[in-house]
Amino acid sequence: MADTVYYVCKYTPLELLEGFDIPFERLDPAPVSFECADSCAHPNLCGYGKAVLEEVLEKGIDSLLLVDCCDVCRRIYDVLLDRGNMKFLFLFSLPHKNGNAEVSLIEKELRRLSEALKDVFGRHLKEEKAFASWHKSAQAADLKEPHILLTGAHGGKVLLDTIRERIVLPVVDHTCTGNRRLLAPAGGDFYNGYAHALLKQEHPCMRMQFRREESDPDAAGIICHTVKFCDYYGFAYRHRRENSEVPLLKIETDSTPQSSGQLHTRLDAFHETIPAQNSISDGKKKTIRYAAGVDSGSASTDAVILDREYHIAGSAVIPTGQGAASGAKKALDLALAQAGISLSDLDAIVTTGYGRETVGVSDASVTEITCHARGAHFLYPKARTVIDIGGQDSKVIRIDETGAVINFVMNDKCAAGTGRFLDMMARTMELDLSSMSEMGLHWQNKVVISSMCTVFAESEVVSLIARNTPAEDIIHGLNMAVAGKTVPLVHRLGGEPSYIMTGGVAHNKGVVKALEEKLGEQIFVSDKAQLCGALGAALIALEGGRK
Amino acid sequence: MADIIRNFGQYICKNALQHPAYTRKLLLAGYRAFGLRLALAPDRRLPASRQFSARHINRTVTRMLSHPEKAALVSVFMPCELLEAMDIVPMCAEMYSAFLCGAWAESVFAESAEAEGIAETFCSYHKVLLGSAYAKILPAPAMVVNTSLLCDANNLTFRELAEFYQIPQYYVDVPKDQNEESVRYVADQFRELTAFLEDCTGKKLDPGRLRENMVRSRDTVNSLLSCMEYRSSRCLPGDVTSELYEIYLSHNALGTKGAAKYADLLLHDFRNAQPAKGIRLLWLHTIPQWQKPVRELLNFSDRCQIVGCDLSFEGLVDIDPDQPYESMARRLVFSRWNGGQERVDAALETARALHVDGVICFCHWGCKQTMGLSGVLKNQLEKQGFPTLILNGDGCDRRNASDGQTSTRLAAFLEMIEKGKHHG
Ligand code: SF4
Ligand code: SF4
Ligand code: SF4
Repeated sequence: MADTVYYVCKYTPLELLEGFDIPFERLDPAPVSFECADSCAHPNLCGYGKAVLEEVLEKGIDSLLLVDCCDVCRRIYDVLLDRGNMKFLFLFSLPHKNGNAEVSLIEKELRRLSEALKDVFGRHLKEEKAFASWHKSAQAADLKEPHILLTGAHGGKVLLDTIRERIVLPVVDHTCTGNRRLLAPAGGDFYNGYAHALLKQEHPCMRMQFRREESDPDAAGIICHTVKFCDYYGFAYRHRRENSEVPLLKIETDSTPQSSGQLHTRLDAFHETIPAQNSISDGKKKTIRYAAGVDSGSASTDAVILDREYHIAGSAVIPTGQGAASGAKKALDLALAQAGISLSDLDAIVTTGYGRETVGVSDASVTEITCHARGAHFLYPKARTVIDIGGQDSKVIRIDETGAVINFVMNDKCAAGTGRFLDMMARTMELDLSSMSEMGLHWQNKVVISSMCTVFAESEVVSLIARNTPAEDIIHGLNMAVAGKTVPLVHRLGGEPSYIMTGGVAHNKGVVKALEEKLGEQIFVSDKAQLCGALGAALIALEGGRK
Repeated sequence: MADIIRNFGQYICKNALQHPAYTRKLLLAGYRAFGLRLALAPDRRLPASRQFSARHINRTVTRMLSHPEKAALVSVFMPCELLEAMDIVPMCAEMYSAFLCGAWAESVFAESAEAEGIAETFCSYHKVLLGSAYAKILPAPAMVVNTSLLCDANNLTFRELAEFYQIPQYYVDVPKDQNEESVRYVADQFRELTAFLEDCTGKKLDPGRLRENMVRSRDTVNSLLSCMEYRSSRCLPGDVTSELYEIYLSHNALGTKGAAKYADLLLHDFRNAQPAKGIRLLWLHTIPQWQKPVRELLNFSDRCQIVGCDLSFEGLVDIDPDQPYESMARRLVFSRWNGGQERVDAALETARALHVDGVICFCHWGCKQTMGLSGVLKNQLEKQGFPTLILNGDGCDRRNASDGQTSTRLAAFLEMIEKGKHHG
């Protein structure tokens, strides 16, 4: 709409805009790429900031009311100012404290904004209209039934829809623009009273020096949203983690729809930790002869068939290849053949892994988090912490004495610390993975690979080779680098012994040794480590049917 | 020497998490030993002022680490005349981390901060500081005093550490608007800070001592400003580490005898310096003084030199010793870095005043402040005829930088300028 003023923050004086009769809309950027933003700003700006820039430039938005929230918001303002084709561009000062001196700063800022609005839009403030809108904004009510709280940085429609799709409880948006409730008008001068109500609104955000941890007695779980390259919400999450009594999930996006799409596994696993979720349909709950689990990963597809006595009757590991569905079918067929039974003998099938929803054969799909936990508990009942390093990601899961998930973290944004990293380095060194596994144990001198980034690490390896550094020493350096990426995840989760390692990389002896060294603890590795996810799925299938 | 320090760093990394008290002592001993070396065998290629700054900064760091109970953790932008007047030792967060990096000991702390959930993308000066606090290496200071200038990291780290150590914090909020009203607002906070410090220490401020410090600050600023004229036509042998030290000396150290002496020596050195030669570079933002290609290309080089770093000039604002609170406030409010376009204008003015051939905008990993502005800086500087290199890297964490990439970019930029000079 012509004249629409876009905004991004709950400290935006929307009631003033209302009083000026100027239409406004929350900017809800969801760009698919950052072409414009990467070039006119910098690739390492926060994802949300880049999304705002991208949206403004792409859609030709010409009126933007920004708040002096953070370095990124300031820089969005500077970049747009420098480009110079905005009709209305305003950066609203926002103090970090909330005393009387700050209220009067805001009051002056409101007056400055009014002048700018008058100038650009040629309108005048109707105080009664602003008052009416302010009354309304002071009345927003909290939801009093069980719900999931989405807190943290800028939510947005795509993210909320993604969450709502995966979680049955209502989701309450407490992100940047979500929980806006002003103090009620109390008479007196409009500007002063409104400044007071705006600054001291009910739910101060994390950016404020006076922020406080808010508790929500009706929240059944909390999702903390952080944005890549944003500093604020990692700290907020830390505080929540220390104080939260309900399941807590940290998610990170960069404001693109793609990044929200990648959250499915996390959200499903989180959902599984909230009580009263059941996956296998009731009609199926009869005595079971055989149950199968299929783990459809990005690199390999694994299948396990269990009989009612919990014996592995058949199993298979094959490369995933072209499609998840055909890979799953192939793996299952191989396992069936090994067990000497046919598909019709299977009473329940549970799928897991990235492709779990596309393989099409199952009774239910469960995330690999829950499956690995279940499988690990089966292989090693003493296990309380599962370290799983797969081809594309790594995760650490804490489990209780029954194998249920207490908490988990995942790293899937960066290749370092995953099987892919080792694959790439093996290729650089022209070695195969099994010799790498052995050679990593026979090092002489310590080599430090300091870079976290795979590209940098590769060039470090190349220059070590050029300096004739023995391959064993380089491999040990790489193993230590992988361990250096993984052990912090263990610490972040408060990992406790006993430890078990699962996933393909568990068979790499050098990495296991490096992890043990960094952790100062022994790690159990089963010869079924690679099958752990599929095994967990089969166990869930078996037990789901037995209830 | 480099190998000894590297081994020292690796030893620190290995012991830090298991033996924090021992590691803390070891670090202090290491810094002291380095200080001794600076006193007995200074780098004679450096002029007197820069030999002095190396020694002085070393002493400053050992002082803050040996007397944490008298220290206030501060950000580099925090004016410290008031603290010094009350015998409170400023513990500069950024310098502390830069020293850990100098000792090759930063990575273990960056990792321990990440393990605590601090974002990998957080500014590494702050991350290393936090990690070393979590690892119990950073001795607990008596209090935290910081300003919102210059960046978000200040809003996070300092509050976090005040809570972590359970020590009092005072926060000076600096509005983005550069006017007298903001000055009054910030000056009032400095008055409140005085009461806060009196409360914390149980001592009264002696206004005479504060005035003395302000007089010294004024004289120091004036000397540093006088150096500017010489910088435009002369060159002083130097290394990138000296540039880093000057940032501290023109900030937290203002008002101290050390900073005053440095400024006098520097002016003296410039007066007697050789005429300019080679490529003249203006450096924007912090400097990765630890990085090999940066040192190799820029230290003591006839081919090119850094004639100044904008961070050392941003706060050289007029001081009136009779208005100490307003003067400190003015330094923050009218900082040339308080505001994006303001910062670009300052870079342009400095580039012109110092007759530079090119500008390097260093984008420190995680510094949204600078990264977000880098496109605008480059755009406007190049429009005015100053070739500008955006150099990505990290001033404080080896894991986020690649020597190969830095070396290629810097060397290619120099070649490009040389060619331009030839044809121009
Ligand atoms: S962090 Fe706070 S100030 Fe910033 S956009 Fe969100 S609500 Fe607004
Ligand atoms: S996501 Fe973080 S850095 Fe980005 S605009 Fe919001 S508060 Fe600022
Ligand atoms: S480098 Fe940037 S982010 Fe880090 S402290 Fe300095 S201004 Fe802040």
